[in-house]
Amino acid sequence: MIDLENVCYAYENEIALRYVNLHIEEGESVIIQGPNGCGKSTLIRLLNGIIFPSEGKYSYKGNEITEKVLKNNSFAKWFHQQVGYVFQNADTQLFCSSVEEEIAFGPVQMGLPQEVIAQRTEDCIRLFHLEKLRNRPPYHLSGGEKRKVSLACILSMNPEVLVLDEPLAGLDEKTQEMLINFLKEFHKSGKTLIIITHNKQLAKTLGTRFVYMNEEHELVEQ
Amino acid sequence: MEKDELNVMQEMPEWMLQKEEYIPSSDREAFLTKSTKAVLGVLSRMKFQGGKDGRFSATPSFQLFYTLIYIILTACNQNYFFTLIMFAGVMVVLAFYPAKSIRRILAGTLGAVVISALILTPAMFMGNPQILLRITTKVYISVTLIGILSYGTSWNRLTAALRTFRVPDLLIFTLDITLKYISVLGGISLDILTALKLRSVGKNPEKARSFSGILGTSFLKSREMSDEMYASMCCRGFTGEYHKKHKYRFRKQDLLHLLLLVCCLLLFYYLK
Repeated sequence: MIDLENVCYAYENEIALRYVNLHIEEGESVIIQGPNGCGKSTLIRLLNGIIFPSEGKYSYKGNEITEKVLKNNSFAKWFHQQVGYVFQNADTQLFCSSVEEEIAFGPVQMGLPQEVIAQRTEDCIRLFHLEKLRNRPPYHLSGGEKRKVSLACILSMNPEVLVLDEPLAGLDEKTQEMLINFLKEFHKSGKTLIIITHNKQLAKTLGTRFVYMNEEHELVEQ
Repeated sequence: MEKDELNVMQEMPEWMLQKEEYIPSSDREAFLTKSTKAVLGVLSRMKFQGGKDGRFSATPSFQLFYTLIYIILTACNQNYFFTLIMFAGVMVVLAFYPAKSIRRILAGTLGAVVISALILTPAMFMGNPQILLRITTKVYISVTLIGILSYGTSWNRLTAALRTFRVPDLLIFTLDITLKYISVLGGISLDILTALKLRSVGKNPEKARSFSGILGTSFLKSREMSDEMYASMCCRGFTGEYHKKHKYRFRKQDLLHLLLLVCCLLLFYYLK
């Protein structure tokens, strides 16, 4: 499903990824770990088509992901629907005027019928217990609530692959448990998970495969 | 209650368990989004494009000083020969920079030169073609000197250099913070725009609304950051006054630049 072949990436003169090889099959739950600044977030940005390899090849379902390919709007939209990315900083992911609007944003764009949009929005609101917050502006929510909204607004597009960057950072124990349970169920349904985390409990509960990025910016299978 | 919540959590909606059969419709990326991304990209890159101090660079305060003097001399001189010498000098200094920096410096200069040439075009038809040449050359020298100063000195050292000229510390501090936060906010807005792009998986009927959402969030974020920063400053004893120890130290490299400056001043008087 996801194939990285000898991928390198550098910011100006600073190397962030060094000859990374990674093959992810459908339904896997891959945990990426490593020290700060080793290139984990860069890898995730690359997997989401935000940045592109300086060297090497990245393919998703047999389609090579390049800047040129993603200039094709139809392909880019399909690709972004397939791979959902939950940012580490929920603040930068939310831009609509209410929680409800935020969750409905993806389904509305996909051109789904009105009743399906309403259904998906309601389901996501119920799933994350956001009923009381539905009309609140996302920016004024607490950290944990923002995290739930940012996850809900990606899930409403029903992606095949869910990429999460430190999903439990800054959350209280109860919300952490809630998210872990949800991700477990999500994974059971056959969806692919790619998670960057330092949280041992999350890694242990969800991971079916563990990869480690070392300080040399290389990916090592564990 | 907690147990109930966790149980409800496991009831996944039917559609989420199925594969999405989605064929995107065509919708072009809005011009507004593209242009904003370009502008924000420049803002967020500001921190990376802060000039690097070269091996033979003078002290930033001295750099700032001689750049101002060179600009004043170029502007005041009446002898075109002096202007040409300055032009040659600027070209020699520019030649020491990497190709990428030269391109950036000259890109900034080009705009100023073209505008001044356009403004002065009527002079050419009114019998004063030499004015066009003189002034555009002077504009080229002055703007390139500023470009060299900007690319040859890091932002923070340049603002700190203002202290030598008795600019109040609080003003310098405000300038520093402004520059820092322009870059930080540019980065945040760019991230929001990326999030919007990643979720733009179809036809967006309300592009303007999404765009205003980005601006609104950036504005709220800037307010929040300024409040937080002020609070943290107060917690560290800030009462409205800001003092910093500063001392100008003469370096070996300054001597070379000082000699050049003296030569330039002598040449200016000689050719006057």
